[in-house]
Amino acid sequence: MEFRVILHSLLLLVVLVFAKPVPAVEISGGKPVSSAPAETSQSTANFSSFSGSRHLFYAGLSAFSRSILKTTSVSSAKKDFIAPLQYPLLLGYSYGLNANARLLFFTDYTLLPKKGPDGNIFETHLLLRFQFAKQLKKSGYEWKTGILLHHTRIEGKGGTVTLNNGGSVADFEIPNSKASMNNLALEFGINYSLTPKLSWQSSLISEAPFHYQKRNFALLTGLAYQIGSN
Amino acid sequence: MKIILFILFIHTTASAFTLIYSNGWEDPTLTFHLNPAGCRPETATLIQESMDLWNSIPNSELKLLLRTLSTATPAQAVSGTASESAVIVCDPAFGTTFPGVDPDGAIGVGGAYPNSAGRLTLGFVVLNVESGTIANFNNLNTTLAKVALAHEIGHALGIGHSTDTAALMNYSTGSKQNFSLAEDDVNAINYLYGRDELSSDEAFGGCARVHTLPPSFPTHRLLIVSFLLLLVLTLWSRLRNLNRT
Repeated sequence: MEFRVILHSLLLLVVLVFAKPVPAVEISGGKPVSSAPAETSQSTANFSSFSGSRHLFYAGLSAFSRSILKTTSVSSAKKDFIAPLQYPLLLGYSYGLNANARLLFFTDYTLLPKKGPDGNIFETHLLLRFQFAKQLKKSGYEWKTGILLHHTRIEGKGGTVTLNNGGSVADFEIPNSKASMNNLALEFGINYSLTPKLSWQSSLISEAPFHYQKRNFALLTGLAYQIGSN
Repeated sequence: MKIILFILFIHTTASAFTLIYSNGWEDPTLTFHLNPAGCRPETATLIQESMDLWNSIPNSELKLLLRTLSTATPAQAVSGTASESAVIVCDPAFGTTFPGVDPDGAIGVGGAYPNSAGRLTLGFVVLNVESGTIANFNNLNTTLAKVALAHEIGHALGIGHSTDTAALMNYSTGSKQNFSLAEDDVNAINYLYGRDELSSDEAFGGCARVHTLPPSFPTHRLLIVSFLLLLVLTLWSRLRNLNRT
């Protein structure tokens, strides 16, 4: 398995590192010290999320679906195209590598956990995403790829509940502790700059990508607002 | 914008799973042993497909396997005296084995027993094949047979009934026209058998095709973290150099 991870990471490395060089703005201490050619500068000034500062900070709101065509939410058990959405808060940091490329670190956290109808079960998600993003030429779009850590916490209130059990009723235990899962996943997606400070982000997250039974795709989309720069 | 928000929030659903006991099995790799006597010919295939459904949960380390060489009887399965720890049997005298259960209403019974430490050590699924009963497993259509099997296997894994009507573990499976899990079922398995890839579990969900022994040095976790760090540093260095040229 490690070999596969290394192999895929190597392929990622080749794609990222040996991509065609582009004209770049060199930055020192947060200030541009040499200008890119006028054409490039014009194209990035209006759209790029990397607006000339090396350090950018974001906040926003996302919508997260845990799976695509995997689970159901209806009694007939027909699979949903996307699983029911949850709404994590988003905080992000961007480190500019040059005028067109940057490293991103985003966290998405469901501050309000999903709660059951009986109020007994709580489900919380935390996504720690580390990405490389590169602007598509002369557009407001960026493609991005990276890895993420998906932390899931399921918590129960404890106690028992009496439920139908065939022809009679029986007492069943409600979970009485917290259970946490940590899963690594791959992420692919695009960003689009709606305004110089507001961007739309969308990602496809692949969990257990090398396991033919467990493989799962999740969706994460949302709006990020640039709250600061340096 | 108001319309968008409405569309977003209308999707909010819920989890409501319960447990038979507080814990699951100690070992998340669990082998069920089928005694095929009295069962329909394709029972092993149906069981395998039901297990595959539980095996498909990405955040769990659960791995269910099937063997078909058991000679356990229904009485042994229920009393926990079978030679295997987890058994599946077909019972032609279902109503006699379970006097309190209506054989016209119950397709099967699943359960588990814990040890003194509270971990499950014995599990069973008994299928109703009593002739003349409405809920005879051998007469069910394929989808309902798989739903019933997966539901009873869920009990043997330690999951109780759910109040979520979409859940496979809801006490009524009659309305199921498809064979799938609800998020509530996923949460139940994750609660009992969740993966921790920052600890001992294989990264990225592991690999299902090739089974290898873990490396003796360094641990896979250290190896992966180190390699990813190297990847990032290399990338950073390369792009810095591009800037300067």
